[in-house]
Amino acid sequence: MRPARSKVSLQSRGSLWRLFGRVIVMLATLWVVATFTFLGMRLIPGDPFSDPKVTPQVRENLYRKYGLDKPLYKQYVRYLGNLSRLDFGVSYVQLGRSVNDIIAQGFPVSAELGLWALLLALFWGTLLGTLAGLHHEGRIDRYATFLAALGVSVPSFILALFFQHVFAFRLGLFPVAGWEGGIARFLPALTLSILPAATIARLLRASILDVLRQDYIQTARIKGLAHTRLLVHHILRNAALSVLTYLGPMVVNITTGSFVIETIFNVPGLGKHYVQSIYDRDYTLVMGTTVFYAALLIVAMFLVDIAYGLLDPRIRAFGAKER
Amino acid sequence: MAGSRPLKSSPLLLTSLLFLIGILTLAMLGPWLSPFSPYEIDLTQTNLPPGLAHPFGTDALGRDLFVRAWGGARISLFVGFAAALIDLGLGLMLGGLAGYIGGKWDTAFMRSVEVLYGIPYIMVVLLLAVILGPGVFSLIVGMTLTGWIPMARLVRGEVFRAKEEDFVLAATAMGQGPFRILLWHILPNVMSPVLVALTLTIPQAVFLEAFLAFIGLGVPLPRASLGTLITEGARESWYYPWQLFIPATILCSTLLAFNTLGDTLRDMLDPKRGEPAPRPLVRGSVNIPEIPPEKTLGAPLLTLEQACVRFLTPRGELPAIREVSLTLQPGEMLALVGESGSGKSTLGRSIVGLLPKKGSLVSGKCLFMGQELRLPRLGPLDQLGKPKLAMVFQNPLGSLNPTMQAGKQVAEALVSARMLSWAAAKDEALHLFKEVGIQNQRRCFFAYPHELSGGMRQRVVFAVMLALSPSLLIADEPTTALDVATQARILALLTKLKTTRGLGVLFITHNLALAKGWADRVSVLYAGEIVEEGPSRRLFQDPRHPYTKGLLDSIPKLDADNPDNALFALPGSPPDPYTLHKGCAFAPRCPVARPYCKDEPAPWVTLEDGHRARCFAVKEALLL
Ligand code: SF4
Repeated sequence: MRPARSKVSLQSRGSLWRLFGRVIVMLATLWVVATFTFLGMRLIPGDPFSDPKVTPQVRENLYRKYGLDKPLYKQYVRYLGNLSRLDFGVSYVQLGRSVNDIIAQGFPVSAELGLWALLLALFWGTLLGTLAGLHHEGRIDRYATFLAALGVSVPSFILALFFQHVFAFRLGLFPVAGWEGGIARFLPALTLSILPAATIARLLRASILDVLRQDYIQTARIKGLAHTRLLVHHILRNAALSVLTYLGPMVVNITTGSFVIETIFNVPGLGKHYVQSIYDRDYTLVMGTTVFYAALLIVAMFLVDIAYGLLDPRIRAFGAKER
Repeated sequence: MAGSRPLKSSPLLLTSLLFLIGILTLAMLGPWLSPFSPYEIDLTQTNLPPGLAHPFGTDALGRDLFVRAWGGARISLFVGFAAALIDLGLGLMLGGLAGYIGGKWDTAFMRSVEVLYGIPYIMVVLLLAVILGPGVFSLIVGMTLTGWIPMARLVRGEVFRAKEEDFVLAATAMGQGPFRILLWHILPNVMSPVLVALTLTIPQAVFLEAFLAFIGLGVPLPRASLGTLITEGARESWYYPWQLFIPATILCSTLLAFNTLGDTLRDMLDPKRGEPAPRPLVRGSVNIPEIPPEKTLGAPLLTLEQACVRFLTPRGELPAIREVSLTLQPGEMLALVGESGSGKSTLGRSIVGLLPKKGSLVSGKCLFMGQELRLPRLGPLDQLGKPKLAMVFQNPLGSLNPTMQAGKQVAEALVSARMLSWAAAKDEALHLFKEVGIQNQRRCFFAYPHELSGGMRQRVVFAVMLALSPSLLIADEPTTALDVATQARILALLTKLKTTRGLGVLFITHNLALAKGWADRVSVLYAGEIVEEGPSRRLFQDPRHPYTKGLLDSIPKLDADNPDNALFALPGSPPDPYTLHKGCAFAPRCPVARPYCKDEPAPWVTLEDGHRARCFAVKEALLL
């Protein structure tokens, strides 16, 4: 319990410092990822052009073109320079295609899929978690808890295969694959939403149980508030705060989930390209996309942290709470 | 809690544990249970459905899926266990060292951990699988590269806490080395959170392995994990669904069992579990009827007759309140004093209807303004029935909603209890703030509870309660969390409200000095029973019950600056409520106990001015 502070300016200066610290940590993380990736590239035995079919003359030209003839540190500096200009490199297999190209093509699709999944997850998760929390140890709670446990235990690709098999192949309710028209978006988005929905439900349930033990809920009950007001303003608003901490990992879950779901449902998103490049062993493309994804997730988690600080009136300072 | 036969008390834990043991055994023994080899190709036996020879059927190359499935489970589980154990080892070692050494090294450690921790785990695993080539080794390295960090943080935190504890300090003073201390003194303390983390890390690693197998980065052929089998089965799922279905079921049920195990363990080791279950929202509510004023004249505000509250706990029935009878007049402050555990808070909560719904049994009569409240059925007070009961809790921060502005919490009560519009409610709330002595009402209105000082918060709570225009206010240790000066101010406020509004106050406290200074009458509670009651002045000048006497004698011993400490410094400890005997509960601690005190209920002895005590010794002294 902090005593109330009277000097607001002091507090906000402290939080600015903390924000600054967080940015530094984030940049350091990005740098570690980039360096790790760079070194990893050098560790791969051989190089993309050691194919015996390539003549030495051509190979030398390619080396010069990609700067592989320079000393390692120069390559490293150049690589970091490219990254800082958001240039994620080129594919060595599909000559002439850059990672930026592929991102520009696939990312909007993935983002849309992720957004639908996010909305569905929030809906299902909140519904299930609230029902379970309010009917603690009742039958509804048991069903909801089981569903949620199932949701976090069944890997998304199994779920995707199952949904595809049942709803598309057997029942023919949805197209088996593709991204044409609204109806095709349903199954991939639903599948992608299950894990985050189940996690939200579990967190929300636990957090509602916690909130219900608090005295302010007793105060609110004594006030004789209407049930909806009690639920929305006193129970859910407080319980939801702890669920917010999960938003960061949720972005990660949705992103990685999209790799397999886009592959299974043949959605032309970045995730599908990524998996394809892994199958093709297109190392540079894999590395470039990995760095892009890592950067995306790191920044997303940073933003979520800041949003959390802004939404909880108790945490004025950014990231003041230990994770 | 956890110690008391956890397996029996939780069927879920037992089921998941047995199931996992079954899966592990099959994964270990499976290959020997079948005459086939997992790699033996037999092109005459392709894609057979499950049957006698091949319980799980065969795949497109005629390989027996039974051996392959359990062999796959073995690989998947090996990856899971290996990753989790390495995480644990690294976490214990690095976290333990950082916590033990502390200082600059620890800071440096935490900084670098923070940087590493930001890297998405999955990306590390993916990159390593690409760089090192897919395989069990690169999988485990990838998973543990950053996987140990949460464990290390956990351990470090625990070590920091444990370092301050006496037994560790003693061990250090006795010259035990750091590793010995870590191993013997600190490790046992971190065991339960670490165990939970471990049970949840294993399924995560198994999950990740299957995921990687699916995107082509699993263990290389011809070996096959469950993930590989599922991926292969998926290609044939249209014609031979069992090839997908069987390994997928094994994988999912294993993950489910691990997660359930982890969840149940966490619930069981959770220190909060001992608390009574919170009361769910109840639909039914009590109507407190409007009572014509003439009917209430002269009648007591609150009468309890033979009120009993019992809780059903794992240890058996706990009698929290035993046959308590009391009355409270309008405009009177009755102090209910007792040690913690004497049942005073339970009594307060039972009157307002805030006892946990499950496992509390209530009996007795409760008359509020001449109308009977049926204690067992009390739910949230009806929003239309104008609540006349209000309650203030010990911790003012806890009793205000942390995410709602203070003023809004008052206005909300006005809107719901007095049906005001929001605009009118805001004005009225500002008035109430003034009434409870808040100086800068407007600033306070828009402040969040954590921005206010303790005394200010409690004033806001009073304002919230006054918004209900109550006739009875139950104040449960309203000043305990506050400093002495604020304490006096809050009690002065209560006294003022008592006279200006004719409010009856049930003041629950463990602080005798406060009861003496402010209450009109006092009831002393011991082990859920009232042992003595009477007008405040009489009771404190001439205490009769040996317990009250003991309490008052112990007062001079405490330090005068902080009357909140060391109260009830009586020899002995409060009785175990589960094993109360029929007679006087105070008998084991009583200096003047008679041989029969234990066995017979003590009689009530009425003295002058409504002063009563319940004790054999008092009765005998009177007869002499
Ligand atoms: S009844 Fe007996 S044991 Fe109880 S307080 Fe009186 S003398 Fe002591």
